[in-house]
Amino acid sequence: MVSRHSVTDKAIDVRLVTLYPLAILGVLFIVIRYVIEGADLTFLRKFALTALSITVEALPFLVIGSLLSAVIHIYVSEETLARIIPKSRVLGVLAASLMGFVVPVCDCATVPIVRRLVGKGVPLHVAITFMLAVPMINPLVIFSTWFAFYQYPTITYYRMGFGLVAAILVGLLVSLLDGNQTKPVAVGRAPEHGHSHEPARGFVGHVGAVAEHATSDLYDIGRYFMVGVILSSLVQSVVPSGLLYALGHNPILSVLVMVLGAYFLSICSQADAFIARTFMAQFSTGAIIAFLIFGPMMDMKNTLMLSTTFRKRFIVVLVGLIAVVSLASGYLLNAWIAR
Amino acid sequence: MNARFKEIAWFAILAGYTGYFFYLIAFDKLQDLMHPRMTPFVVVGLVGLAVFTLFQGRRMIRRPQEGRKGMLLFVVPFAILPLTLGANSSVLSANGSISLGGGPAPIDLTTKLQASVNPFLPTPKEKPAGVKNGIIPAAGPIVLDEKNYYVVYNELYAHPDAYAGRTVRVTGFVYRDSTEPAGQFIAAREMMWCCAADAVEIGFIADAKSAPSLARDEWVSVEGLLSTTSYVNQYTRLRSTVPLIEVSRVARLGHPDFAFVYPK
Repeated sequence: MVSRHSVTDKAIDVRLVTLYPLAILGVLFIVIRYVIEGADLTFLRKFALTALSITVEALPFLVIGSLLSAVIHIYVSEETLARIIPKSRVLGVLAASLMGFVVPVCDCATVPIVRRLVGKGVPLHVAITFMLAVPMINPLVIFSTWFAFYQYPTITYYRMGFGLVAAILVGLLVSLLDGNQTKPVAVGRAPEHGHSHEPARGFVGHVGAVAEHATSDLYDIGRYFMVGVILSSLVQSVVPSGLLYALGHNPILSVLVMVLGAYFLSICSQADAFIARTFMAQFSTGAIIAFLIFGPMMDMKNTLMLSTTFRKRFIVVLVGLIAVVSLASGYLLNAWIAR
Repeated sequence: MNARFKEIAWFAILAGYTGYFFYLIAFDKLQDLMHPRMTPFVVVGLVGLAVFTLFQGRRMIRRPQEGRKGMLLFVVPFAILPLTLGANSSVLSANGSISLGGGPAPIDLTTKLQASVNPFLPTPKEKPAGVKNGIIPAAGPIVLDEKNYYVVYNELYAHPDAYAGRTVRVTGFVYRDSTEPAGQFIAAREMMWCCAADAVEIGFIADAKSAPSLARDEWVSVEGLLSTTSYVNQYTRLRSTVPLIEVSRVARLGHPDFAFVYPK
């Protein structure tokens, strides 16, 4: 039995070290603003209403995602996944990219799986393509994107199309690198993590095992989601609409801003559509799509998680490739729509 | 924090979310946060959270383990919850600016509104309702309520000239910024696409020179004759013809039960 919690507690500590200051800065900003505005509650109320609505809207999707993810983790082993992935470079990349349609896990879950896959001898480019494609085109993410952009179904099609192409492209480029990209660590070792793996017995036992894994998954994903909620609600409440309109109106700047936002907000791909939706009125469609394809492939927390397994040079190259492909997708889309 | 305390805290957080979801559904409060079409998913979320809480309770008692870091982040929504109690939906327009009209084409105002700030936006799949659909009564006053607001609003903005001279009744909160001439305000509503985070302000320009001075965010019922006026979108600088209500009667109201309007 294996688990996504193969990312060590130390890695989790490192991730949280980067997230807590962001949350604390956000809270400090709120307090300062409150004092400056002479205890006017309007801004705080807008922040609270925005943050709470995003939380309540996205939490059910995180719950559903965590449940399905737990089922996969308990009943489908990485060995099975590795067995069905072709070893040929191009076929391997294509097959790995299509795995997303049947593996309902988000980016928080794929990094640890990739770590395990690489440890089990799956080619790096196949594992990386898997990591990039799965969080973007899995059924849950497609569904939550469709739901968030209910009025604009084309956004879902753009996300799937551009996302799939981006993952394949980056996967093929990674295949050109040499194979010595991982740190000399025992990626296959049994990890320490926060739940037991006693064999489940009976119906209640199986439900309990799934619920326990799902709860842990919800906890892991939820922390980063909460930081995303706080920061995006702050942006919505603080930044004057006029400035957002000005930034988002620019087809070049808007894409860059949203890609940077996706990196630093580190929102789970099961929930990022709901965050992106809040910027729909202010930002170009290319910027929204760049946000929706860059975020699941790479963000701050994934970078830190990858650092437990891969060499720094490889991570820099990977982040660069993903950024270039995502920015290009956004610019191409804006140019195509505006033609 | 020792392991058992962390497990108890996580149990309390899960129970808190379960209870809050139950409160939103049982007391019909969900509509203040999101579009009613999301209700089935919140119900699923409630069931999932209840199951999680149950098994977390079992784990809390049987075998607490280390590994819970960053728990305070989950408490943030509860910490800010009191701020939303009694919050008027108009607080969402606090740092925003209303945007009426935009393009010259007689299309769905929402499309115009969105397109005016995002020229790259794809066309929404929802088409504006037309006169043929019978959404505007053949005679008598045109009354906008929570159920028909979106379609009637679209229709009046799509064909402002066609309804000039008709009586209209609408409820909204008073919205003013620096662009309105003296005596005018916008009878505004927050339209929620998906959740409160993406609400946009829409409304009708009301010419009420003879009406008493009204405070911003005050809820009012407005009745008057429909006319038209030229409106310049402050972001796109595009000029278009939009409806104007020549107000004959204004009544002050309390905060309504249904503050938001929702596109279908």
